[in-house]
Amino acid sequence: MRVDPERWRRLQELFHRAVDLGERERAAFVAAECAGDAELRAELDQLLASDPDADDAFRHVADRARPAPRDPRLGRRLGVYELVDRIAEGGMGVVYRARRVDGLFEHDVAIKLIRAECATEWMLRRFEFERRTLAALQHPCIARLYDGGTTDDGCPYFVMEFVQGERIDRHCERARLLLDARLRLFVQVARAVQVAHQSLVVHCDLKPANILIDERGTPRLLDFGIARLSEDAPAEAKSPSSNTIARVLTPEYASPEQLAGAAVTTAFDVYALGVLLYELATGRRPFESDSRSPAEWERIVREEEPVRPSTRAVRATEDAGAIAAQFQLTPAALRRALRGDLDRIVLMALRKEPERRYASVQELADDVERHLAHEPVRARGNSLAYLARTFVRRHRVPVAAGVLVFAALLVGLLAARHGERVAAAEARHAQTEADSFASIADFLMDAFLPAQPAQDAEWQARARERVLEQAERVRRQHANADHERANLLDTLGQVALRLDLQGDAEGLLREALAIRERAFGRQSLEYALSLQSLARHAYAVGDYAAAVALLDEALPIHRAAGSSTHADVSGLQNDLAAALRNLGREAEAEALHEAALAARRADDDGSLPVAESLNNLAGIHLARGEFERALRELREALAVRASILGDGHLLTLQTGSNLAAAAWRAGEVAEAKERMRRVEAGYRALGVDGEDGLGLALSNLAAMQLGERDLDGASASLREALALQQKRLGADHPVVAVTLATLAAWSHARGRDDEARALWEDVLRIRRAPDGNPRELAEALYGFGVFHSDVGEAARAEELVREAIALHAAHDLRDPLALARAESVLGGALARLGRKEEAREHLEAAARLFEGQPSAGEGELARVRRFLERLDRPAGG
Amino acid sequence: MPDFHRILRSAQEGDPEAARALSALLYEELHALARRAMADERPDHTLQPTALVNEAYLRLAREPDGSFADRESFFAAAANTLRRVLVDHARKRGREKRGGAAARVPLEGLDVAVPLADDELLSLDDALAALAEQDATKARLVELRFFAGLSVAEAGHVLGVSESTVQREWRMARAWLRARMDGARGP
Repeated sequence: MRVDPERWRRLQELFHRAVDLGERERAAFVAAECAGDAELRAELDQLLASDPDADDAFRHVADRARPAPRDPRLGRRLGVYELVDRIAEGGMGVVYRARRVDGLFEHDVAIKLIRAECATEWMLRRFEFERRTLAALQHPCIARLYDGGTTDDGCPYFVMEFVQGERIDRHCERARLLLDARLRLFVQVARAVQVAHQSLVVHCDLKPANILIDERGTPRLLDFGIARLSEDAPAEAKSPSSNTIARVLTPEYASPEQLAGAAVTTAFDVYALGVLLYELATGRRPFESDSRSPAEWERIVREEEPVRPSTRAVRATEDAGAIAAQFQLTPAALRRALRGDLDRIVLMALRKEPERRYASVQELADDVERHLAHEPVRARGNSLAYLARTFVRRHRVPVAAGVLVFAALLVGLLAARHGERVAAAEARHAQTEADSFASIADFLMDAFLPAQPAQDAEWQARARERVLEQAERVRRQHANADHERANLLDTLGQVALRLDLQGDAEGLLREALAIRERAFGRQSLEYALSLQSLARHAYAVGDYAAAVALLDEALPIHRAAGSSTHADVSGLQNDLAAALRNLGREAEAEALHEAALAARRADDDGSLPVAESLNNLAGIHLARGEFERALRELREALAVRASILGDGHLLTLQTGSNLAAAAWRAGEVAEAKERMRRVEAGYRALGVDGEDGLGLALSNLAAMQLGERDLDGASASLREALALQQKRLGADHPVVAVTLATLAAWSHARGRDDEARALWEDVLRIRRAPDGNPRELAEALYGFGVFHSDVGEAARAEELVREAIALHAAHDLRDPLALARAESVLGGALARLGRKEEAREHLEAAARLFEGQPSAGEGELARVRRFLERLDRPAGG
Repeated sequence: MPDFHRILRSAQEGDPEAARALSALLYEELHALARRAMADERPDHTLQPTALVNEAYLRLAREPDGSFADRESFFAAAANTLRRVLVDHARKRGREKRGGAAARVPLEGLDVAVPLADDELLSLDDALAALAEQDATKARLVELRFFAGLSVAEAGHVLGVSESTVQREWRMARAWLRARMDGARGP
């Protein structure tokens, strides 16, 4: 049985060399190397036939039997064709060369015989339906599909044009084609796919094995429309094996949505072409499948970003030199050739979200042609705004801790409640059941996972593995205990949420929800708790509308459950209010905060929750310019938090920071600065945990210093604030916009108006984000308007400020002071433009509004009145 | 299991006595786990070898955040033991009810999307024994990858070879096993 070691070594060597060859060369290679040694040859053939990583990665699944030495089907007739040669074997079946027996035509055809277990009734009916379309698809680069039918034993087959050629990847490699030649080949392929798309045919299985280069060097695409016949069958029409096959079907070229089983679209082919382009340009695929399980592969394709082609080209771990040599280049030269345009083109085709890829294959082909012609390409890298958005999405929980007004006010929200809960536990406050599960989540987080930012991919992958393992255990060990199983899955879902594993979190939370719904009904508290968990998930991914809907459903259940849960009701109201405020529904948010505050005040254990409500309410009041009220609320909140949590606690510092900002806006400059300095020191003492707060405190401090014309002090604060915020929040975060606005004001104060203008443009761009807050946009428009008015561009000032005023009306912003200032700036601009009557109208409106705001508006009211008087003097006076 | 880490370390350092003790310890533990998993749950419960090893690890090592090296050598030690446990189970069930396809083990580590019935597990075991005779490294690699669920990198670490070597060996080992198992079953 055992072969001698020498022979075994030889067998191994031949195996490894053979598997790297194409089918044709392989046969010749085996024949040559094993000449005169039939036994060795038999063994090698058997090994190669069993090779799991052969082109058809699934062959061994569908076809465990060894290929017969001679196919019994050869010589058989199918319709008017006789099978003369076996060309290839694939997952769906075997491809034969065939010849017409009636002698009508000379040329050969290829017949693809589908394995019986891969065929479904549906597929055949579908083929009947589509054959006309497919038969009409004519393009020099597309192999024609002539006909199809069913054999006597029920296997469907397709009759196709017989194409002789070499796989495109092997062709490029063997011919050592230069990069540009490869790109031109790619464009030809893409154009053919484009024509097919215009005939409403999607390929669904584009890959090198389906793209042959014929002897004239023309690419020929095989199997058009065939994969699709099984791809979008309704689930019930899919046989189990066709399902398996659809998933295993060369997964390297399937887009995330295709793997997930989405309905067929042309975006599948855009993605597959992206993989092909990546491969032709780097000699590697964006992700290597190795021996991954289908589930792991799906995760990788869904979550991981491919390495840029130019980076891939010089990866030290890979054989960069040999690959670059295929392009007749050095690795560095290949890298230069790929960097920039090609990187962008490839990555755009490979985007996870189909709607963010090229909208069509045509656009992709056009862009590659533009690159070949040295014209600017359309593909853009992920914009900073996009990166920032996804970053914020990923880090929404901590970021959501800051609800901001223009004066940079931080209000603690959902994330803050976590710390508060822990603190409350320490202070021996009673806890509800929901809280105790949140504490378990906290405990698991702390016990399980080393504190480390979630950006570390490997760390996150490990953490994820652990969460999923635990979930599996919970399902096994508590299979018969719905209560425990749901509780633990919910807890794990919350852990996943903390780990930024939003997708896994949602899955776990929904699983728990379904269990609770089934076991306890839709009126149960358990069910309501699951809704709240899902709302937290929705909040974390920035879907505030969904969060509102979920909490709206949970609230009545809690109410119906009676007084024992009223701590839950107020907590829920608080979360609901936070989500509403993010949707710009301020009035509703305020009402809910008030209701929660009233309930919490009535509760014996409510001092920390009361502080939370006060803090959040103050945010709304301050935004509206109700300074006295905001200051009162914040002072009370600060006293509570400081006495229970201590001065150095994150939540105490947050409220302190808010109070400083409020004091400053209320004109109590000395108190504001002094407080902010103390807050700054507190955050610094917290290290990394305090960085978000520190960035904001410094940004606010800079605004104060600027107000006092301390330009050097402001400059230092701004520099540090920006560095911190851009590191933690990304470039386009709304919080960063505040700091940028302050920086713009600083630049303007220094006389660097071009710089200031560019910064303001940036601020405005960030604030115009589709899901942005109208109040913040109005503030930016006003600020930029003032700038224009200052530099004498009255027309532009008018435009901007009018837009701000319109926002006040449209969104009922209820901030008379801000509106008064906008009206007065508009009046000034109009006066400068010589439109006196209009100017008077707006200045008078401003004066009326200022009159209602005695605390902050007196100096400004006087200025408006003086201006009105001047306006009344006769011209030239 | 206070001695566990000491035994593990000694086994790692090549002490044959410790290796035997470790193996006995593991065998017992894995058996208990497998018994529980198979007895408590639905008859069609799928038992994933890697999940079992993980659980045994968590129980024996008593520190979910144990050092990486410990974890790796544990898994390496567990691979062979787990293989024996599973095969024992399969044999026993086979004796209890001839031809009964009781618990199924998904052969995910081998990239075979079909579940492995008892008879397949037994034939894999036979094939592995034959492979060990021919090429011990490859057989060991299959144990590590399939039974202990080690990644390519981890397996390479245990065996002291590079990842690309692991990939090549793994590919050939699988082809060989598959060819052998198919051959044994007859065309």
